[in-house]
Amino acid sequence: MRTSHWILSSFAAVAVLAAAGTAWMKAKTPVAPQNGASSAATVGGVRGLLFAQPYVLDQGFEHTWRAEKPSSRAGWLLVLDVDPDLVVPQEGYEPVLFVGDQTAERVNRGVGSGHLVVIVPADLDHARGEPALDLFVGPMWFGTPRLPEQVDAKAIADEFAAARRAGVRAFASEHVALAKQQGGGFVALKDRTELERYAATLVQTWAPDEYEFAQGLLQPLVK
Amino acid sequence: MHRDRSTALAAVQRVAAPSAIAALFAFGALAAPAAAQTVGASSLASGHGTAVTPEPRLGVLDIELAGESLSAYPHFHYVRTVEIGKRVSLAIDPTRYPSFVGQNADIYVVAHKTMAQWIADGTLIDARGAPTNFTFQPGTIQANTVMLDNGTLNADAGADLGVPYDVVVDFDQDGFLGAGDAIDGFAGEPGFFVVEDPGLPGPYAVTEIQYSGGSFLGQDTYYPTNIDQLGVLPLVVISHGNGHDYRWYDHIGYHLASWGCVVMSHQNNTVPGPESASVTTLTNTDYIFTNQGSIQNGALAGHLDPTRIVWIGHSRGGEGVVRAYNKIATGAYIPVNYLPSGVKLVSSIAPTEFLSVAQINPFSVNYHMFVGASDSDVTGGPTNAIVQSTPIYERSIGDKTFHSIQGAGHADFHNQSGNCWCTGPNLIGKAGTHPVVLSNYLALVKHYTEGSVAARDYFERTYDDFHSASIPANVIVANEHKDAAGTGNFVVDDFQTNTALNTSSSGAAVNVAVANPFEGLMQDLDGSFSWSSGVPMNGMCRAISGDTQRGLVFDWTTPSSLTFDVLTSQKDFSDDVALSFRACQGTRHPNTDSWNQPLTFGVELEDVFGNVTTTLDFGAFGRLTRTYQRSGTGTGSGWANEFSTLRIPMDAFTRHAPNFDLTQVAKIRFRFGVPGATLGRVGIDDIEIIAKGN
Repeated sequence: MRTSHWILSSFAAVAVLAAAGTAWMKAKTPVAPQNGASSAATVGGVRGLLFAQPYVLDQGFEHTWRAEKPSSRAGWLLVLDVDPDLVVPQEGYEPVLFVGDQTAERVNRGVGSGHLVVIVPADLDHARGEPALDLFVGPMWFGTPRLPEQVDAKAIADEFAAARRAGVRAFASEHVALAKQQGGGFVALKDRTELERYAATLVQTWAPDEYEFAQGLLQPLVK
Repeated sequence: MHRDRSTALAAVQRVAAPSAIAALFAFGALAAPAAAQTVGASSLASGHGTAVTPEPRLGVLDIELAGESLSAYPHFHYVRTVEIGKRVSLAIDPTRYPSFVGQNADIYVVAHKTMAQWIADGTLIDARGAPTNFTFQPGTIQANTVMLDNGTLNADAGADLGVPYDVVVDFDQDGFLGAGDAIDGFAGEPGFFVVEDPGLPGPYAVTEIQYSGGSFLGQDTYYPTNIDQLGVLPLVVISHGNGHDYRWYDHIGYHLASWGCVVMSHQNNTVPGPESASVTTLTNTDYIFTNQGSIQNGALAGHLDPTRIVWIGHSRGGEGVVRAYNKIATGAYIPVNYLPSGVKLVSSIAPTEFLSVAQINPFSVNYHMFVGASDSDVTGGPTNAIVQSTPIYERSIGDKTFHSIQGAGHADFHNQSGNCWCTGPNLIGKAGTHPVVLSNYLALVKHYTEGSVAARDYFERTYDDFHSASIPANVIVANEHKDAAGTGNFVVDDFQTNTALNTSSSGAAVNVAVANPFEGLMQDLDGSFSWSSGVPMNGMCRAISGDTQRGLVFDWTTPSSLTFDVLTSQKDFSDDVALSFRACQGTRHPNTDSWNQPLTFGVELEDVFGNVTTTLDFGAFGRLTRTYQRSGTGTGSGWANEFSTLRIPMDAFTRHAPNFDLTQVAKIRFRFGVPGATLGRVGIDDIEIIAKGN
């Protein structure tokens, strides 16, 4: 079941920023990233949170979508509703997707449906019983176009500050709650491979136009 | 006939007419050619590359005979390879071989034999059924050109590329190769090859399998269905680009597998960036070797050759494969199943250039690049270093080959429908792009993994001169090839050192009699293709900050010249194969716009005695493309400058010029205005004398 669009309409400020990002993307010319603290190009474009499910793995994996490549065993599987123009794949720089203080790994393309399945690694908060990255607090936005593998903690902090200045805020608590209700409780998986395959099923559900793409993640495993 | 470098050192050397022919004729019935009478055998060891040692066995004359007629000077092109269905002829320049004149002979086309086989059995059996009888005439090479075959010779070599033939002139008409006979193919390479169209499928049925080894180990693998009968095969790995899919390269997979390769296209972690992509190239290559016993119930087990690996990458994946090689070459990554030397070829399709100059350096691996001049994603334009692919090519010091395809977009290189990511006139789509890709990949893979000699003509000759018949006639390609550094060629001027205009990198004088010469870094500095006299390297997207690739640009509106003196120590060209240089038209320059068509100019040699060869219009061997007429990035039309490498066979300079002394060459002169284009703007680089064996 999809989240209805009334959720989306409450993020007008983000939509304005998304329009700016769209204009950049339609130019089709990769631009050099803003280095260091200069993150003026930060734009929005995440229009809604449709699904949120925490995951935990027996075996950790390296999060290659940021420079430090931290090892991770837990985090969030999210389905975001995004401006499709911001996720058109191209070979130049693309806007980096952030969730709170983390870079998000995009599992699918999301161009047709506007629905992106993402993996957001996060430590476990044992006291709260879920990933430490609090979706009620952390905003979600597209930042400066650059390579995720070159984004480090300082860059994230800069992007976060720029996003806050631009008015990007976390989704309303009721929306997050609904998305978490959609996602349900923890999914416990063996490893990164199982996580990818699980995410692929989410792609087939939320972005059915990418069914064939997801099949590419679901090939029979060599035994 | 030319010599494959792999055999150059081991084989008994071919005698380069006319310099050392005299020694042979002591065994034969013929008199030595005219030039040989004035050239001492002592000159043999002073040329470039491998020294020539006469091989007088049987007393045969081992010379170039087979090739293709040309409609203009030099009238004949001795070639290595002809495609099935095309005419092959024999030609003799009677001014170089006057002893042939008046003699009647039987001319045989025979299945190639090695020299040892010829010595053991000189029987002549004509592959056409019967020899051609011919009486050699005085006068010109045109009068002594004999059609040998009009396209009927067998080209079916199974999964090999090309059926080898030798050509024999049997003067005594006894049906045996013996003293006094002439042969093309006695030592070293065969006389010529007839090849199947490399753009068409090979002989094997292909099996495709898709499987996963886990995270970013999804693989789509193609192999000959009868692989269990085929032994160890080359492995070709394909690393896709950003937003692409590993299952979008069926065209390459099926094609190369049908010719006897195992092709594996893998999930590539491109979105984080090319550094991450390079990791998946490396891990997937190791994965298939490690797990060959498990994949498809072990169908591949024992059939993957870790010493014959090819990496092909597209876009971010194209940068990734270079980064991957860079990492194994520097020890930053240690492969489990192969050595760096096992990677025989790295090819990038429209690669990005995010990482540093040091990180994206292919070093000495054999390197190849395709770019599409219509690419609207990795544009090749001067606005941004990330989208300039060509500096990566320039950094390579291995054998390197480059193809720029006009009308091809970024997505035309894979086989998924949708946005072509292309812009500009005369778009060719996948239908035009794929035959270029398939035929050239087959040639490159066959040469670098199997040592195919026949394949070399596909990348050493200009596209204008020779390419797969399966490529549509409207496709325009500019291609370059340069032999690896240190392989024996004499570099006359590569503009990297001795940077004064009047001195070549080899240290000799240069006479510059052209307009607006500028020697410098081949970097378009103003971010625009608009012509500006303040940016003489306009259109040269060959270097970015930190690169060192230099060249020379200039123009002319009246007859002009550029003369390179040859060092005395390097004056002997008699045992060399060709004069090579690369040149391009300067995009959007008023002269280029005015000429508005493919361009040629003249080349001549001068010996120390003042003899000058006929000024050769190199158009017989290919022309410089008009830059692709794409607009944008400034005013006017014309995209990045497109270099073509011209290899002019040394014999072409001395056609009908028996007095010219190739052992005593003093000057190489390029003439502009006459012959060729009456005006123009060009860039020129890498002027070399190609040694035998290259």
